[in-house]
Amino acid sequence: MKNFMHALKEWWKKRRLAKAELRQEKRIQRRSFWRNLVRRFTVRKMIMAIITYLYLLLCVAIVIVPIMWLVSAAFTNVGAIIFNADGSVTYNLTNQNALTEVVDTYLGAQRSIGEYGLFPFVPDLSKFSLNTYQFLLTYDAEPSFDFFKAFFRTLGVATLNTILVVTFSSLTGFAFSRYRFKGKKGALLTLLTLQMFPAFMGMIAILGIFETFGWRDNWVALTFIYVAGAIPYNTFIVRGYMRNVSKSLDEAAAIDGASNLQILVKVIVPLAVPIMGFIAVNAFMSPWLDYILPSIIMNGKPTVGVILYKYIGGTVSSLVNNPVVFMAGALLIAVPIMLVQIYMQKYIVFGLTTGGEKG
Amino acid sequence: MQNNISKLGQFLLKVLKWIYNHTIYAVYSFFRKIVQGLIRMVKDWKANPVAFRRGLRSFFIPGWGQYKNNQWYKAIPFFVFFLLVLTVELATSRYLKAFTEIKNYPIVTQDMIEGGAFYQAYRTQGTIVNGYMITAEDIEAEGDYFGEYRQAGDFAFVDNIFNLLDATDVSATGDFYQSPYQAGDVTKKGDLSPYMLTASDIGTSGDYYQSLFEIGDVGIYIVSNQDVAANGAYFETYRKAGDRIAYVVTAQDLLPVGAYFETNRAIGNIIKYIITSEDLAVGGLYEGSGKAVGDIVYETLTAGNIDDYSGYLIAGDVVGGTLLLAPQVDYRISGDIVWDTNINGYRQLSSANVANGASYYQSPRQAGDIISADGINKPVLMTQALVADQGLFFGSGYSQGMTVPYTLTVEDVSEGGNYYQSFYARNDSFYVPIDEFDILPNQIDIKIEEGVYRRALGVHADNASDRIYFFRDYGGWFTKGIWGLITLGQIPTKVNDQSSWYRGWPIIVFRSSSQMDYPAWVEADNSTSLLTNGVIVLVVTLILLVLFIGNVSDAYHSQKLYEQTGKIEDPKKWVRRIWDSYFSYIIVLPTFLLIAFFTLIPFTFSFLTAFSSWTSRVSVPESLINWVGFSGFAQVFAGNGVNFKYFGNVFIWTMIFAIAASLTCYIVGMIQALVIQSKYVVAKKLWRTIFILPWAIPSLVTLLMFRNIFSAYGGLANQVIDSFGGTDLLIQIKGILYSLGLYGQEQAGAFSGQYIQWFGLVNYKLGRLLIIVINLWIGYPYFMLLITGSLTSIPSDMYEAADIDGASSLQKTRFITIPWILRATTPVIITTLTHNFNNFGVIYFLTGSVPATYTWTAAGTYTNIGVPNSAPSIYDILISWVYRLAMLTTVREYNIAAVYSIIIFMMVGIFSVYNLSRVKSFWEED
Repeated sequence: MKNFMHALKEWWKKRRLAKAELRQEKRIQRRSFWRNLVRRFTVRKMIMAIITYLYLLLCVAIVIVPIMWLVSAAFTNVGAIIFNADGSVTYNLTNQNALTEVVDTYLGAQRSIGEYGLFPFVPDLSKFSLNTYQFLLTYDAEPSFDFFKAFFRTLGVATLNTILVVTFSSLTGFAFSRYRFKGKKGALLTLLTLQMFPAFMGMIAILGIFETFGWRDNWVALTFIYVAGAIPYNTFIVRGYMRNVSKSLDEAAAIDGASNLQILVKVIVPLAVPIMGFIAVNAFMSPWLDYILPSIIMNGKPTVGVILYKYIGGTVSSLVNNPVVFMAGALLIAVPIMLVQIYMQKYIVFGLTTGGEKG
Repeated sequence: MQNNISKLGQFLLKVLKWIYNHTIYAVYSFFRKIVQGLIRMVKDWKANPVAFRRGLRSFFIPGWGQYKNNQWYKAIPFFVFFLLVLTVELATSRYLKAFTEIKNYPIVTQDMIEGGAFYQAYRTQGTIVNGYMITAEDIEAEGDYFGEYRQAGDFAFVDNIFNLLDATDVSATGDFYQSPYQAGDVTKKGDLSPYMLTASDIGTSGDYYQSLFEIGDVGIYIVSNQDVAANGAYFETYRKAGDRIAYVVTAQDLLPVGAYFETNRAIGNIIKYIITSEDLAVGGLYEGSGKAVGDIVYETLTAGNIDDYSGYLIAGDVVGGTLLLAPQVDYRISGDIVWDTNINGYRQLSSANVANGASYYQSPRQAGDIISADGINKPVLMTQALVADQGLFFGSGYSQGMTVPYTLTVEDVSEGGNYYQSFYARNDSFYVPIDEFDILPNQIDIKIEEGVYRRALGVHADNASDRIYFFRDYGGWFTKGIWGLITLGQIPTKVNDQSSWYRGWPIIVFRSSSQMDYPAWVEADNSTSLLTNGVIVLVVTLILLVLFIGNVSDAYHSQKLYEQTGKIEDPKKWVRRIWDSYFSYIIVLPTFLLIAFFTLIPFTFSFLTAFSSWTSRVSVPESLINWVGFSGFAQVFAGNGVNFKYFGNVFIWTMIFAIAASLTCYIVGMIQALVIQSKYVVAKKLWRTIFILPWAIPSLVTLLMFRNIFSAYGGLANQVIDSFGGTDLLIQIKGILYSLGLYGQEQAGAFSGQYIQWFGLVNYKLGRLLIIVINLWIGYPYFMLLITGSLTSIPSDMYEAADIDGASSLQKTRFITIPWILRATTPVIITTLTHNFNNFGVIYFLTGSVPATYTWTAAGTYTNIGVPNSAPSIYDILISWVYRLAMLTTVREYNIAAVYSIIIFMMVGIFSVYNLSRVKSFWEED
């Protein structure tokens, strides 16, 4: 353990030093960038720069507008939900938009936020309201709409999923990258092909298995399905990563007489921390807004994604059908995920390149 | 050209060879290795007789060979494991009871002694004597069991489930008076016994007051065993005991059978009397009474006036406090089937026929009419026998091309019927598309002969018989699991259908706690759970088989090792050796167990489903699923090629979508990456962060948001257009879209100021374009990140060399950057292609898999495989169509969905495995 801690500290120190070096390099680069810009100023370059920035701004607009709309929908009181003084809730589901509608009988009539007269994708601060959130978090008339319980249930799924996926796929990935054994090729092929069968057909069987063992509405059992589903892909990622890590360290350890387990725990695991982090983040994020699988097997005790989908995916006549609530809840869950994704950008790029290029 | 063709041929040959090498040949060589090992072992027998014997011992009892090898530490685990498996099998089985049960068919013997329920009861149809089930013929006058009493050992009904009718039941006051049942009959408790309505029943306070029933009606009639026996009313008809049938009014029914029919008036009766003019005349009964003609008086009959009012009791009289009512005339109602002399056949009356002024208005029911059994539902659909000279749906109002539900009648499945000896059973219902033959006279046979439904999707049910299914009744977890997988069940039932028997018991569907005293086999087989269990058992058995082979091989090799070295390996060394040399297996093991259970089992299940007849129309567990081989695959080409046309159209759209979605994302991603990395841009990280936002938001949120934005019901897109330019702009945009060929022409009011329907049926080109664009919005950041990553890996000396050669920045991009990126990311494009091929989320969440009707031609609606709503939506790609087929409540064509799944799997799997095989590093052993 002591050795391991030492190795970890060493590794961390090295990482910090490398980062500092990188920062320094960038600083120099940036300085030279401005210097070059001023020195080699030409009209042609100026025009190119303007075009580039105009293009970028246009792209930003395309990216930002729908997101702004999502945000303003979540925080605007559009009269869809009114909390009365006596504590009751009034749902205003009338169509406030008097404009002519094209009613297509074929098209599943889905409610649109537009029906509430909400138009601006620039937030209207005078209409700022937390009514939607109040409704989302307090509506528990039916147990299958209890957002808080669903949140903690999903948290459980995500946590267990993270632990198991990281453990299993790392072990398998190490085995596939570091050891030779009989049937390795066959096992790799099996991992690869099994996950290509359309998942819905499997879901019917999973439902059958769950009913046989009485596992419906059991979040632990749900997690195991996620784990089994996530292992193949992540195994390939770990394998791809580990192949690029020099073998000299573990070979040296083996010569020193370290056992298989010692090599695994003290050498390989510290080396693989970045990729394990990448897998952990992905595994923690994935269950939050998954819909199809939990909607089938977690009817009574839904996860967050199932509840949110109920607010938007139902029929028009349904009382709780209210896309504004969906927007609010989706934002609530999506923002942390977004932040982590942005923060982990580098690892994600790294995971993508290892996972993608090396198979 | 010639060259190209031969190149293509070579390539295809290479692909085929590769596939062969990695599938058939791989399996073949795997088994060859096992067989070779076995042969070697047997050959070595003479050389190593002891080792061979050790292996043989372990083959019979795991652990025995190890014990003989003096390796107790191996012997014990193997043996314990063996015991465990054995215990599971035995504990879940009923083997121990099998012998006595099969030999004796034990029944509660107290029933046989005097006073018992079956004392001197006749052996009836269905009773089992020494393993033989008595048939209707056996208890006829010349049958083998005629007039025999039941004896101990007979297998028959027991008292707590069935009523034994006694003399009081069939007496005038009993429940079964004038029923077809007799004393000594056994009827099922809770069954509706035929009940003849009395005057009080239809009185104002009676249960049948103002109902459609009249005095003498029999509410519902259940055919009894007697009815189907010789001399019975339904002897040698198609009816079986337990059938519920519409009741035919006979001549007897029309006779007054009321309690007071032709009863003389007696002293004490109160009679209703209407005063006539004679009564008021001089000498009349009411002379000078002040009454008028037509007045009603009630007279109590006494000895003095009985002569004046002698005669039969009539309606209006009061007897013992009960007012006698006039029998109402029993008019025909719509739904009745009557004999029409004009067509010399039966016809079913419609509401128009009995309306005021129509030919059957207030026409009384007559003998020979067929009336509804329960007075509410119409009688079963007219069968061909009833409309002998017409098509099945002739004059029904249905038109060609419609799909209608059809329920098989007894006639249909009996000899001479259209479904005689087909897989179908009586009461099965399915959808029949009506073709021109059905609505024309005399052509029905042709239609049925060519029916594809019959074989491919047939609901086959072995009729419960007197056979004993040993593993079904007695098997343990393993044997019963394998039995279930092979047969998918053998005993079906219909709810409340007394004709479903097995070994003397009526088959029930669900077991409630009150039914726990039934034996285990009374429950009907549930094919789906048998399939699930069977697959679980199969996988577990395979894992156990590997252990078993390991056990035998260990016993053999350990002895051989001992003979070579003269030393017995001690436990510590053994553990050490296993840990060291099998370490990789050990750390991989948990993963593979998990995958075996949560991926392999579902996979096998779905794979097998494709070869079964499982659809929602097989009402499990009343009916059974069947193995039907490749019939499901034949469905892809069935229906005059309509199914294949669907498949082809969906496949083409899937390919277009997959390629377009992947390429657009790749190209835009590359542009973004190159622009951000260009020397003009400062704050690269900020720009990149903004641009990866669409990818960072969970896709469920994004897709549902876009669905809302492009809603035809005032989504953001429509509102933005509306607020900027109002109706004019809407029309203008529609015009532009129209000139691009994207906007619908047929739609009424398409060019008015109505909102644009982005995901419409007619405008499907617009919707499809939008799908690709929205997918681009979500998907480009992935490639942007990926390409940014590989841009940084371009060695800078390449650019420096280019600078020395005087290359422009455009040239550098063209000749260095892009080739580098392409080389580095080609495998990812192909992975993305397969991902998009199965990109269920984009289609399902964006369009909801609607419009449900699929219109490739100008007009008309289609259904696939004869099932409504099963046709793909205009936006469906293969995977979302499979979802519709398997998951949509009204469809649930599990087997067809599995067939398409296998097709998708083959295409995607072979494509991507072949693709990976070209990536050298994937297979490199290091």
